[in-house]
Amino acid sequence: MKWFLMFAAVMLTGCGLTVQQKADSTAIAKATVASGQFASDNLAQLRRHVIDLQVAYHKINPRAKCLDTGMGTCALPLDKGIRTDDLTARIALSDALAAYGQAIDSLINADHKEEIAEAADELNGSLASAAEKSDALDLSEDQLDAISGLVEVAGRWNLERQRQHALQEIAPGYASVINQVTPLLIHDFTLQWNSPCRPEFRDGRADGAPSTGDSKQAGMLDVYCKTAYDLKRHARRIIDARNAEPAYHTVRSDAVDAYVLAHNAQVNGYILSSNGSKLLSKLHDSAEELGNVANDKHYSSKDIKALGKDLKSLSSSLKVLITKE
Amino acid sequence: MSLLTEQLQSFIYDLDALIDRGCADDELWELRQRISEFQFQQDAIEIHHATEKYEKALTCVSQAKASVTHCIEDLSHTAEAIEKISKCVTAIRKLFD
Repeated sequence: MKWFLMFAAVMLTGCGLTVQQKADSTAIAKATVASGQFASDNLAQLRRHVIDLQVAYHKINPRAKCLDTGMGTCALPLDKGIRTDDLTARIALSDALAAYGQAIDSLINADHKEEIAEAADELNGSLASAAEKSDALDLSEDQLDAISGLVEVAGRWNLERQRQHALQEIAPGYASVINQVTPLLIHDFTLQWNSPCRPEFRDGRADGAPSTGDSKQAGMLDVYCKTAYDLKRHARRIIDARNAEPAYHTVRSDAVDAYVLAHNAQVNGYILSSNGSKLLSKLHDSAEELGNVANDKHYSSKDIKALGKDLKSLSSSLKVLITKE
Repeated sequence: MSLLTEQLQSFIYDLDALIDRGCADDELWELRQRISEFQFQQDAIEIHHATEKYEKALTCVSQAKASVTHCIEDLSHTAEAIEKISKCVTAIRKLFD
């Protein structure tokens, strides 16, 4: 029994990823995909929402005017200066991050089981056919199955070993990508300390609101929040005004709708920031994790069990092949 | 110390507090609007600067993904290698035909 255990230990050191390594690295890959998809979906929506807020603003503000584009034309600033280039670059990166995570998932989990089994069957068929045609090649059916079994196990082991090496190889690249990408996404999905999406600033500076905080440059979510706040203030001004003229009634009705739209935008912005910060901070922390997972082996009973099955299959195959008749 | 856009936002809150206390002066409102517009211009500048960093990062991610794809192809080759063994045996079989 001790020889079997020693043999198993030797084989394990040469084997591929453990069950736990596969699970942990898959979780990291899936978190990468989720972060990329979250950013891509929400960034596109943010710009659309900014435009919706601006449309509402122009409906209630008779003094709102077009701005000089610097190219001889005058246009309504519906996107608040967020160019399509700004959005395209962000969505492209987010999509690329999701695709990268998906590729890592495929690397870890694509098992090529069918290809290996097919190849082993084909080998079996070829050897059987060769044995039929030649007296020099004398192989019984059991011996053919044994060879096929050997090829299948050896092929799988080789594949898993290569998979482990591949994961170790790509881990530094993964850390570099995450360290570069997550600060950019965090910047767009977190709020400035005095953002009007924060509860204490939604209707102006509330009593007890902070007077200072950690600084950051404005991101997409900050522009969204400030656009909402601006609209809310304009809407409130109209709602508060005392004006009995009938024409004013329509404007007041639009102002109420605008106020509700703006307030909901502030609440949504805050929720988006909370969710985004959590997801992206977790991803940022995982930068070095893939490397740690790839290099840190902890064998569980599931690994020993899987190896035991393979060894049993190998042992049976060898027995058939080396038994002298 | 707060950045310019954060300082402008704080100033806007100060003006809004005056307006809420009853200063319904049109000129004060006009000032508030001009500061708000200036703030949005500054925000847009900060966003454009970040866009350049996004474009650089995209190159990094694309290269990293290419190296993962290369590893996946190598794994596929391992499966194909076994197929090659069987083709080799088929070729040997043909020698006996």
